[in-house]
Amino acid sequence: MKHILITLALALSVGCTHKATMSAPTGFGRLDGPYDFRAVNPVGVVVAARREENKPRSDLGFWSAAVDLQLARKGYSRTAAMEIKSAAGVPGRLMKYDTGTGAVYWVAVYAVGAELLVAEATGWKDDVDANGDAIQSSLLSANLN
Amino acid sequence: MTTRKLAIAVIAMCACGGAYAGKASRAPMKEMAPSAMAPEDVGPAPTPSPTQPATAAVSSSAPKTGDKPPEATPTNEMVIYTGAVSMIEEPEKFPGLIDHIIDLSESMGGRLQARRDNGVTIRVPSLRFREAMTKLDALGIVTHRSVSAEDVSEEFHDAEVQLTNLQATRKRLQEFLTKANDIPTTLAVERELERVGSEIDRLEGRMRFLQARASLSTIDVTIAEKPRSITAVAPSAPARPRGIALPIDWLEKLDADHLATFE
Repeated sequence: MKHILITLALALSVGCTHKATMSAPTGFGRLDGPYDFRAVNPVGVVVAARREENKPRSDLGFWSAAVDLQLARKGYSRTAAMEIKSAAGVPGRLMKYDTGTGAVYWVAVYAVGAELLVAEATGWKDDVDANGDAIQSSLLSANLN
Repeated sequence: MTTRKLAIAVIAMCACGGAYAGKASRAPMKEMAPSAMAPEDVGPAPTPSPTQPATAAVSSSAPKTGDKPPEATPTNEMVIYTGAVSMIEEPEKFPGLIDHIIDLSESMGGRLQARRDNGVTIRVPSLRFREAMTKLDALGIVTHRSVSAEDVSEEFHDAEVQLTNLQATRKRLQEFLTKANDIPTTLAVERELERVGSEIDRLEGRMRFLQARASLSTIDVTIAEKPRSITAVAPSAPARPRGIALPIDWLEKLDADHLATFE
């Protein structure tokens, strides 16, 4: 019996994966799709969260720099960057970009052990600015469970 | 009239004739006639009037009565062409370009006149002057060109008439010298012969100079340093990030387009 319990515990721990979740701002509706969580409001502002593997294993500095460079290669211009802490107390980094097309793109990156939590938001600049605080709070509410 | 008086009259007439000949080509013949009259007692030999050669010279290019005026041709027009060309080239290519310009002039029957570090002066046959200017365009970048044309036809023609008159005068003086029978007269005629001879030499030299200038035109080429090309960089253009993209799939999908795509 004891062996059976140990084997079951190991199996559960090895196969254990988390899903990202977040609290969407008021007025958003959740969507199905490739993201762990994604929601959109009637004017097209989108928020989403997803879990990724921390592979190659590194820290928040590495991943926030990798994300920043990747977006710069796509022609995005960073307009703001700040150290943040999620609602669950996980340190992360929030970066805001101008896409050059009239839309803005915000991304928060958290490094949680072997996993990464990535929370994003996009929409036309005016629409995002109109709900800026709520959208930022949504990104800070991201969590793995 | 004594021989001495006759000599003085002839010398005076000769001196007058040389100076008058220059105007003869432009003056109507009726106006020239009075001064061309020779004294009746010059001698048995028919003394040619100073204007008679001039008449021949003028008639060589003047229209005959009833004929149409001749069109301007290279034979009765003498024009000195002078061209100036400015080119630009890289400094290390100056010698090569100058060599090509010299080759061009020689291939057209011309020659090199002067060579400098930053240019060259060439002579080309006047009939091929325009062709040479056009061919220079093919050798490099021409930034400026100018052409001046000096018509020396009239000056040449005047010199030609004057020369003919002086040659006739010299002949008369030589004839008179053989008849002089006293020393003062002989000396006076010899002095006048010397003066006329010098004037003939001067005119012949001037005519040779004009002919040479008109047969070969001058082109002066100056070469300046070609400006280095400058690459314009937009100051507001964002610098592309360094490094290469990481081989991480999800990073490729991290942007507003993926986030706002609903499938």
